[in-house]
Order: sequence, then C-alpha cells, then structure tokens
Amino acid sequence: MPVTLTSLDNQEFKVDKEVAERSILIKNMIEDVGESDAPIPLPNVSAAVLTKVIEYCEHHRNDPVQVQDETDDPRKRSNDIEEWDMKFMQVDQEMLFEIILAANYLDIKPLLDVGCKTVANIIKGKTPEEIRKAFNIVNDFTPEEEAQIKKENEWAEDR
Amino acid sequence: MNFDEVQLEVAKYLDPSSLIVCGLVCKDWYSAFIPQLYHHIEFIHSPQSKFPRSGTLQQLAASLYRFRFHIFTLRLELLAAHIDRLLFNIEICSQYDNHAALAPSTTTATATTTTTETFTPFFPHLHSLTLSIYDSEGAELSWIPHCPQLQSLRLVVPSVGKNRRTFPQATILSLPELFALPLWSTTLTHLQFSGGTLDDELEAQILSQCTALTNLAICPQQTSAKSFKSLVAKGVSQSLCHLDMTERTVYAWVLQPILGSFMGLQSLSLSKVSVYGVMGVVPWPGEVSDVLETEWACTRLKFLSISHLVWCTSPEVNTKLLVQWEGLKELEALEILAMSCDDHSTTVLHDFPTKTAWNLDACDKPLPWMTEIWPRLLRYKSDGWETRVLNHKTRLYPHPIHGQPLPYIHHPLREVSR
Repeated sequence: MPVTLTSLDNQEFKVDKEVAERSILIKNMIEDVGESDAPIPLPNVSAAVLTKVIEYCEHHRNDPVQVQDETDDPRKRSNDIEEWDMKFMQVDQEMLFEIILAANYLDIKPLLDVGCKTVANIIKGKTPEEIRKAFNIVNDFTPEEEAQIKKENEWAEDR
Repeated sequence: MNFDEVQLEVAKYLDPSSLIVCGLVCKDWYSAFIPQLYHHIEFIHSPQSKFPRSGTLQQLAASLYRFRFHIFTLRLELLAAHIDRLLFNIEICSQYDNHAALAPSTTTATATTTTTETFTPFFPHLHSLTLSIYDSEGAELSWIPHCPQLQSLRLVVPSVGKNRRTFPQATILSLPELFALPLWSTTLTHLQFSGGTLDDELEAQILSQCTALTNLAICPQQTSAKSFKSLVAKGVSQSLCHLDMTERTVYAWVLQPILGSFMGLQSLSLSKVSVYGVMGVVPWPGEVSDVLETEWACTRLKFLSISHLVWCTSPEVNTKLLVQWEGLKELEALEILAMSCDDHSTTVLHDFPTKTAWNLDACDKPLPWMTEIWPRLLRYKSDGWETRVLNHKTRLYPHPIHGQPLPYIHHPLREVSR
C-alpha cells in the first residue's frame, strides 16, 4: 500500500509503505494513526532533500533492521561505506548536511550513519585551515588560544 | 554551518588527532569536539608507549581536571608512581581552583567557606574507573577520585612480571579511606579486585555497603566467610548475577552461603574446588554435608566455571550432589579447566592429597568413578549442551586477569548463549 508524504514546500510523494517505514518517525506515525489515506506532513524536509532520502530508502528497502552494536570501542570506523552509498553521498555540501539533518529528524539511523561517516571522511587528514576552507568557517582564535589548545590536548596524540 | 545536531554523531567517527584538529577550527567547533576527547580515556603502559613524556603528566592532570565533567570512563593501566602522580596533580589542580574561588577579592561571601580541607575533588559523571597497577611493589595511591555516579570499579594488580613473587604483599588495595565514603555504594554494580590483598574487615565492609552489585570479582586471599555472610545479610545475594572467584581457593564454608543464598546468580567462576568425600574421614566433613544438604538457591545458574576440580568422593556424597545438581535446570555451560582425582577415591581417602593427581587432559580412559557420576553431571550432553574440558588456551571466555578484554563488557553468558 502506498503512503503519501508531503514536503515542506507542499510537494506530494507517493512511496511504498515498506519504503516509508525505513524512517522510524514515519513508521511510528503510521502505527499511531492506523490505516489512513491522509498524507503525512514532513514540515522539516524540502522536496529536493526528500527526493534523495526516498531514493536511499528505495535502494535499502530490503536491508535487515540494524541492530545496535555493543562493542566496547566507542570510536567507530568510517571507512566501511558501501559503494552505492558512497556514490549517493556525492552531493554538494549543503545537500549533504540537509540529508544528515533529515535523516536525524526522520530517524533513519543507517542514513544518518553514512552521512556522518562521509563528513568525518571529509574532515580526516585535513589541517584546521583546510577544514575552515572546506566548510567556509572564519577562524576566531588568537594564536595564543591555538597554542593553548594544542598544549592542553597534547596527551591525546602521545598515546 | 550548524553542527549542533549532528556533531556528536560525526565525532564518533573521528580519531583523537582529528578531534583536536576540529577543535582548532573555531570556537564553536572547539566546544563541540574537544569534550569528546575526554569521554573515554585510556592510558595503558607498554614498553613501546611514549607515555608519559616529561611534563605530560602535569598537563594531562590539568586537562583532566578541566574537562572532568565530560569524563565517563577512565582507565589507567600504568606504573603505580605514574598513576599516583597523575591523581596527585589533579588534586593539586582542584585545590588551586578551590583556593582561587575563595580569595577575598573574588567574592563577598567568604564567611561561609571555612572547610577547604574537606573539599574532595571528583569526576561527577564518571561511571567506569579502572586502575591497573603495572608494577606490584606495593605502592599505595595517595587518593582515589570520588565519583558519585560510579557504576564500575576495577582495581587490578597484575600477577605477572618479575614481581610476581612479591605481589601478595602489595598493599595497593588496603585503602580504608577508599571506601570510607559510601558515595558509590548505591550506584556501583560492577566491582573487581584483583591481584592485591584486601583486609578481611575491609572486604566485609565494602561488600555490605555496595547494595547494588550485580557483578563481583574478588582478589586472592584466605577466603573470609564473614564477607559472604555480610553479603547474604545485606541482600546483595538477591542482586548479584555474576560472581568470579577464580583467584581464590574455595572451601565448603564459603560455597555454602553462595549456593544456598544467591538466588539471582547466573554465572559463577571458581578456582580450585575440592569435593571430598567420606563423612567423618576428611578434615571438613561437617561443611561438606552443609553444602550438600542446604538446598541450593542459585537455580538460575547458567554458567559454571571451575578452574581446578579435585574430585574425591564417596557414593553417599555423589548421591547428595546429584540431587542438588538436578535443581540447576537452567545451566547452559560447565567449564572445567583441569581436574584431579584419585581413582580409589570411593574407598581410600586417608592419604589424599598426597596421592598422584590426575589431569583429565592427559587421561582418555574414564576412571571408575567417572562412569558412575560424570555422565549425570553432564546430563544435557545429548541435547547439545556445551560440555567441554578445557585448558587455559581454550577457555569459553577470557580470564578476568590474564585475558583481554575484561569480562564486564563481554560477559561469558553472551558468548555462551550464542
């Protein structure tokens, strides 16, 4: 049975229930409301972003439900992105963050993970100046403050 | 670019050096990423490790103090002197902080603050603390941070290395002041003492204070019946799920309160267990009969591990043991690392244990007593029940002290039930 989703800019999207339910938020909404033809409003997501999110959910419609891994290592790997996901994430930076925010809002954990891994990979290996350039950020530290930060966290690089 | 909503998620995928680089980008990023560095802190001594470089300890102490609100787990496996210096420096920071706050110029409300000496520095959100002392010469720590939310405490003096012979004299765990403040007594669920020694009285006091314990592993020493009596009395026997006594020799008088009272026990690891036999002949006939005749309360036991089982029984003991054994209906795994016995155990017991001990690994023919009782102890075998006689290399789960990782996170039950 198809479900209708309405984006921020009032565009309607018809998708299979199975696909829509990749989003835990939508899944819960459908469960709460019961059988209904009424469109589901998603006032935080624009049509352009929703198109991308639906594309992701379509591709991953048959994925098994992700289980919370309870490894004791709090640091996670970011170099294990699937090829399709990697291509999917090759978008401009604004879109990348829009997708992450939408995944967070719609509660689509695997998409949020892939998005965050992609951002982490952009950051890794760069200098602070390169990151500022990449994300269009202005440096508001004094050289003294920078030196202080380096000093106070030196131990982390010592290990 | 607003990182607020996703910064935590992104930071999970960054290594410490990348986090520092992010912290240098701008002030917003600093407050988003730098505290992440401090959530889980681990310093592990190794000959290759550069830590600690000179000056690092002071700087590290200052940083740890500054970010103490962000620290959730702290694991220090270092030389005693290094741990001590680190903690000492943190204390200095806090006292300096405290005195600075009390300076007359900073506030007018100085009249109320007279008790600077009793100020105790602590990590308010720390839930897991591991102090593993690399050298075991018996150095004492000057203080241990007080952590009101502590859930897991591990104090380990490894029994390895050139100091092996001297470690029982280590006084590292004889720290009455450590437990003088019952700050964590209601939050602590996991407690491990290993390698050092602990005063009987102190152990009893600790165990009676910590009323929320679910996992307990305790150090080698002459086992105190008092400790376990106090556990039973204070109701920990209801909450305790996992008990590890692999570093102790267990006698019947300790086994009896465990088996008789610990209703919630799911896993029990014992070192040397001697099941001796003929009433009135062996030195502890009364206690043996206590164990066998008190009804075992630990009916939820799923995992039983015995490092060394000394089997020396009589038909009477066997019969009673089997009756109790039948009550352990949920048992999923029995692990025995080594076994010794006497093939005349049903008749001659006088000169045990001078008789030649047997190791089951080396013995492929069943001994007479085995054919009688052993199949019934392993009664689920035909249903795929896991019954293995193991050695130290093929344990079902890592040894709490010598194996990695330590068992509190990866518990044997999870491994076994897979």
